[in-house]
Amino acid sequence: MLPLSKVTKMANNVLVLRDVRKYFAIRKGFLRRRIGNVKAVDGVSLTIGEDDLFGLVGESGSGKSTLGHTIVGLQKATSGTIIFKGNEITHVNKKDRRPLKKELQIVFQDPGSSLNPRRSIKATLQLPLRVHDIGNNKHKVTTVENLLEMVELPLEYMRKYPAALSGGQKQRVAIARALATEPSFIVLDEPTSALDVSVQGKIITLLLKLRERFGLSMLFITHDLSLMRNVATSLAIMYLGKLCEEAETSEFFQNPLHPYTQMLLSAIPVVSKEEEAVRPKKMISAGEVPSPVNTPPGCSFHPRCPSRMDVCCRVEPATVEASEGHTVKCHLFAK
Amino acid sequence: MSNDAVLEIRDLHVQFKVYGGRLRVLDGIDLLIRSKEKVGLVGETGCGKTITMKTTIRVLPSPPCEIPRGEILFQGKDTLKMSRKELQYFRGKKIAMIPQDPTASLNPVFKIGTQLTDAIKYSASSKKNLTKKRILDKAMDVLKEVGLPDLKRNMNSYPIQLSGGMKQRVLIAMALVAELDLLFADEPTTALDVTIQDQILRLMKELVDRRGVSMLLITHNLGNIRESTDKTYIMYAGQIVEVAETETMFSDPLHPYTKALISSVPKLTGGGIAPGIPGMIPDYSNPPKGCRFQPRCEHATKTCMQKPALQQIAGDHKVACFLYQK
Repeated sequence: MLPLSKVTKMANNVLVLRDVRKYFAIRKGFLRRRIGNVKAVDGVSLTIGEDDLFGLVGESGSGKSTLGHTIVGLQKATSGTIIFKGNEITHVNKKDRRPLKKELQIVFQDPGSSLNPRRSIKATLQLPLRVHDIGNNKHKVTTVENLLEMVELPLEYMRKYPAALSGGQKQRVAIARALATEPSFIVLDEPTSALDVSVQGKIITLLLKLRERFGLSMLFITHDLSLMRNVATSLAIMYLGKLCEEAETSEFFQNPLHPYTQMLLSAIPVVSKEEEAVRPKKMISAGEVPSPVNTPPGCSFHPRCPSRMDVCCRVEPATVEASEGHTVKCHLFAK
Repeated sequence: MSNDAVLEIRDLHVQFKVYGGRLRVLDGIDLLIRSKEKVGLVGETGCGKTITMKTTIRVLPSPPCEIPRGEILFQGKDTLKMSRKELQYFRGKKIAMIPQDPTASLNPVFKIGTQLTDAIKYSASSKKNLTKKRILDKAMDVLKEVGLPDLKRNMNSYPIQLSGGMKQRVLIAMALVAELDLLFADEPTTALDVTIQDQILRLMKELVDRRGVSMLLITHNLGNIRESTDKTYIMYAGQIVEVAETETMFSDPLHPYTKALISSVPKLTGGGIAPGIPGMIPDYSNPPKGCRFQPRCEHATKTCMQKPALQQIAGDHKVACFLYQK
């Protein structure tokens, strides 16, 4: 359920997810009978407002990328509703999805494999314009020039192929491609995790600039909490397909509540004494993420949790609002 | 040469002969690892960290690899002058490495137990007393030491049945079967999540301390370096730009590249994102003259067209930059 404070500011919400689930079937035998489910996304509700940069943080296998793909329509949600700018888009058919795709774009993790190696940068950037039938041929060329300028690449790169570009440059092209259709919402699926820190800085600065210029809302999927501390307006932690904590950034880092959040924060390697001071006290991180096929009963984090109680092994905790806008899914905070 | 040095690299140059020229990757590396010391080697992708390590254990194919100048002294002996047989003795028995990608480093068609016992057989100093039971016991012991759960079952598993963190534990176990003197860890946690990364680094540190092994940790993650090493080398485009005790390096960095690198890391305290370092890592077929960082450096002057030497600032703190030249 959505907390009250969220419902009231619904008016300028760009994206609302309600109890979204995405299960992948495990099939076996000659008849391909369904013998189980991989619960990649298991009941996620969240709200992203206009101009928000929402950080979705989780370890590998937590389902954060699947959620991103479900939002832009690369995967069909098993159940739940996705509302984009007031319209439900969960079950939109192929024909009606096209104008929607213009509005919702995605930048993938690995720029090396998300760009077609046999297509020049110009052709790559023109493709979305062709698909959505934007402008005539002359206009398309000027648009490509504008896009390259926007992502701070020299114009002669138009004739190059992805192989001639460095990782950071490829990611710039991928961002330009996402911006070609002038979307209002972008999903960024770990856009900098394949890059060096000095390059990451450049790409993030660019993204923030573009966000301001076009009033974009963003869903930033990442595993890097320190990065989110610096760029996100609010963020959520995902574990085994469920959100375990969600809050605005400053509140989140001042007052991390969920034991998993604290474990993540205390495991971050930091580079200064000041950071050590704000990081929660060293918590010995134990165990690994269990398989999403056989999720543990009760709270899915309980096998790794240092403050486990009896109830955690049996009952799944409800999402409660610990303070305004700060929700947490843990029995420790149940009222 | 100091007596307690385990590995000392002096003025090492490495280049690769390729179609149309030579890639001059390493340009005079000096590196010293003392006994029981944990040393970090940091730099961005493509700066020559892994090349340094691979040259040391002589696993780079030649051609294309050429070593025009330099010495690599391992316990006082130059590995560049060693015969194949001598090298074989050092590799695996005295020096071992933990590779970057655990998934690509285990053979997918052999069981964990088989691969581990092979490593034990190979690293044994004498083939006497090497009964099947002893080998198995030893395998169990090291796996227990690295904290692998459910030993019997995991020994009989194939790599694909293990998670990334568990595979990395197996590889650490493999490296530790011998009585090592030096352990190379080449980005051992890059492929892992933060909580697993934390576990693996803690384990490595513990084992290295307990066994009194020296370690060279190669990574681009500055936070990992800060939390697990005593001394840090910063490398840029095949040159060592700064060396210091890890604590000094992070509290008082001197070289413009080190400063830019540390400020590029997103901080947990907030304060926004640094805009990164302008420009790109140079092309090795035609590297910049003198200091290789000079085209990207805001303090660059004409003198930077000559190569700055590593200058001692205080104690172990050395920096290769004309800003600090007296």
